[in-house]
Amino acid sequence: MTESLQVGGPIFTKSVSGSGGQTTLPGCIPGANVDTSPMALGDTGAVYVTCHTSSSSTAFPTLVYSVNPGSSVNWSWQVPIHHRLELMGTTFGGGAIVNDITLGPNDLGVSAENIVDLDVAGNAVSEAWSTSANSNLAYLGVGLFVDTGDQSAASPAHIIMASTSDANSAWQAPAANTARQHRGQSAEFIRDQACSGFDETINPRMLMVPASGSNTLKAKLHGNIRQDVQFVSDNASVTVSPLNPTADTTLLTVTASAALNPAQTNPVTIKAVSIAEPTYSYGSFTAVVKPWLNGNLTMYKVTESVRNLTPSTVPTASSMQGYLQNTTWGRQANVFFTVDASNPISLSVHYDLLPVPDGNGVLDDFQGANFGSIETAAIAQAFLGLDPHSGDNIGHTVVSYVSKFGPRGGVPCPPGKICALDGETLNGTHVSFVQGLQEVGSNSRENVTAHEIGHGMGPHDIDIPGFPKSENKSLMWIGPGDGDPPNPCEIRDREWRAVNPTPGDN
Amino acid sequence: MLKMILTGTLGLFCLFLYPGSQTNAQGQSDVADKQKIQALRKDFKDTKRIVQSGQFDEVHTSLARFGEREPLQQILCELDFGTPVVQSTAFAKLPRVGGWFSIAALSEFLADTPQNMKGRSDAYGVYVSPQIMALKILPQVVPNPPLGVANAVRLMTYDDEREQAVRTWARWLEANGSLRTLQPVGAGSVPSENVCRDVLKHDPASRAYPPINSK
Repeated sequence: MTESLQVGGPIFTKSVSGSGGQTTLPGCIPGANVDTSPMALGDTGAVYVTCHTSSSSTAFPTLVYSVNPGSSVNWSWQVPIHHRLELMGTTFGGGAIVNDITLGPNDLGVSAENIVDLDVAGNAVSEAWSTSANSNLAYLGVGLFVDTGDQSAASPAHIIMASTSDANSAWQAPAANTARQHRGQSAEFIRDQACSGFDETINPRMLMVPASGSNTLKAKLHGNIRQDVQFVSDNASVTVSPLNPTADTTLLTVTASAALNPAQTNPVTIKAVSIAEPTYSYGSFTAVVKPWLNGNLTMYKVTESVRNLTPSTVPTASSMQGYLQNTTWGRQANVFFTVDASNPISLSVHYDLLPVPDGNGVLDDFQGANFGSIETAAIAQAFLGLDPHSGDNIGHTVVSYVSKFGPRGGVPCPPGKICALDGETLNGTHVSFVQGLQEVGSNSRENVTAHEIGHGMGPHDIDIPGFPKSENKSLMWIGPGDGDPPNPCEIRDREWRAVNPTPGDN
Repeated sequence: MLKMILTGTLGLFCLFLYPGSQTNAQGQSDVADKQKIQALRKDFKDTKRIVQSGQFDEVHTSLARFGEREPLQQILCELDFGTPVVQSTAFAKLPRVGGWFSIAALSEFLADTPQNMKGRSDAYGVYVSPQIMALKILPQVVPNPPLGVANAVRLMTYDDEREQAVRTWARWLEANGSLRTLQPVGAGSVPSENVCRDVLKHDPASRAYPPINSK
C-alpha cells in the first residue's frame, strides 16, 4: 500500500495497491496547506482529513471529510463559526471521533470542548459530556480522554471515560497519523497450553526453551498489523518459526540450536517488529534456554511397624515419573526425574513416637515445636541406612509416603476449614514426606509429590497476600483452598531460575 | 574507626568493618566493570521495574558481588534478621556474592548456639537450621574447601557428623587467614538490629514475602 499527498492545494491524492486515484476536497481554502498530521485511515478504507473552509476567517480546521481515494467525498461535517475542529481518531466500523472546540473571546483560548462521534455515514452524535473553559483534551484511545487543563495547580489533569470504540486500522504512510488510528496495535504473547513453561506473571513474558529442543507459545495480534509483523530473535541460535504471523493468533515454535551452550547464554529477546519500521516493536517476550538436568527419585512406602499404619494412596513409579517429566519439572524446567520401576519401595519403621510413650497414629508435623522431630528422624535413619547419599542432590531425591500427617503445627483444623497438611519438605534438602492418603478436596499424590520435590530444589510456597490470586494455578501454590483449581501445575520463571539457573536469571 | 564483631562462641571468625571505606567497585579500574556497575546501579534504582521483570535478585547479587555497600547491607540484614523465608533466600545468594563478606557471614552461623541450631519455619516453608545452611553453603564460597556440600538430612539425623563438620570448618577457616582479602569483603556492612529494621522495611527481597499468620 502506498499513499501520497499533494500539498499546496485542496487536492488529496491517494493510490492504493497501484490503483489509486485523485480526489478533490471541495470547500478547503485554495492554497492552504492541508495539514497532514490529522489524516487517519478508518477500518473501512475511508480516509479522514480536516481542512479549513473557504468561508473561514480563521486559520483553524473547521471541516472534516470522509473520502475514499479515487472516488468522491463520502461526506463532510463542519463546526460553526468561532469553533475549531480537531480529528481525534477513527471509530470501529467506520467513522471518526472529532473534538468540537468552542473558542474563547476573539477566537482565543478554549471555552469548552465537546466530543462528537461521526459514524460511517457522517451522522453526528455528541458525547453526553463536555469540558469547561481552559480545557485541553487529548484522546488516549480505547475510549479514554485526558483533560490536562491549563497545567495550573487549580486545574489538575483528569481522565474521562467516553463511549468511543476505536477502529482497527493500520496505515503505514508518511501522510498518516497512526497515533490517531487509535486501536492498540500490538503483539501479545500468550501461552499455547497450560503448564507449558510459559510465565505470564512477569513483563516481558517468558518462555522456557529446553536446550537442543523447542517450546511453543502463541502470538496474538491486536489491530490490523499482520502484514507488517516479523518475528525476530536477538540470538541467532534461538530461532522462532514462522517468521511472520499466519493469522491474528499464530502458534510460534521457539527452538534452541544444539550448538548453543545454555550455561553461557543470557535470556533471549524475541520481538514482533514492524517490517515497514524495523526499529519499532509491537511486543516482545523473553526465551530462556535451560540445560537438561537429570534427577533420580526414590519413593518409600513407609509402614509404621508397631501400629501397622500403611499409606493407602501411593503413586506408581510410572505415574509419578510421567507427571514429573511430562507435566511439571521436566516439561517446564527441563529437570527430568527418573523413577526406577521397583518403586515405591516398602519400608517398615517404628516412627509413631510422639507423643510419648504410645504415639498418636500420625506423623506429627515437623513445624514449630515439633520441628526436626524424632518421628521424621526415625524414617530418615531408615532410608539413609539403605542409601547413605539420600538427599545429597537431585540425583538422590527421596519421598517418603506415610499413612497420615498430624494437624498442621500441631493445631487441629477448625471445623469447615480446609487446612489439611499433605506434604512437607525441609527447603533445599531433597527429602520430602507426603501423606499417602488423598482426602476430599486434596490434590493428587503426584501433584503433591511434585510440589514437595520443588521445595527440595529450593522454591518456596506461594501464598497470599504476597502474590496475586491467579497464582493458585502454580505448582508451588500453598493450596488447595476455597476456589483453587485442582492439581495446579504452572511452573514460573522464579522456579526455573532456582532449580535450573543459567546466566542472567540468577 | 575499626570494629571487630561476629566472634561467636567459636571465637574464630572475625569480620573487620571499615565504615566509610571505598567499595570494591570504586577500586575497579576495569572500564567494562565500571560500565557494568553503572548500568546495575541504574537498574537497582528502578526497583519497581526490575522486581516486576523478575530481575531484582540478579541485579541485587551482581552489585553485591562488585562490593556495592547497599545490597551487601541488605543481604546481611536478611541473613541476620530476616524472616525464615527471607533468610533462606539470602543464604542462596551467597555463592553468587562470594568473598570474605559471605565467608564471614556464614562462619557466624557455625557456632553451637541455640539460635543457630534450631530449624525455622514460616508460612512459606520449613528450613534447616542456620548452622546446617552454613555447612551447605560454605563449600560454594571458598576455594578448595575442606568438605563438600553437606547433606542436610544426614547432619540433622547424625549429631556426630554435624559436630565433626563444624570442627573441620572452624579449623580450616582459622588456618586460612588469606580468605579475608577475598572480594567483596563487605566493608561498611553493619549487623545491627536497629539498622536492619529500617533496611528490611524497604528491602524488596523482604517485601516479597510479607508475614502471614498461618500456613
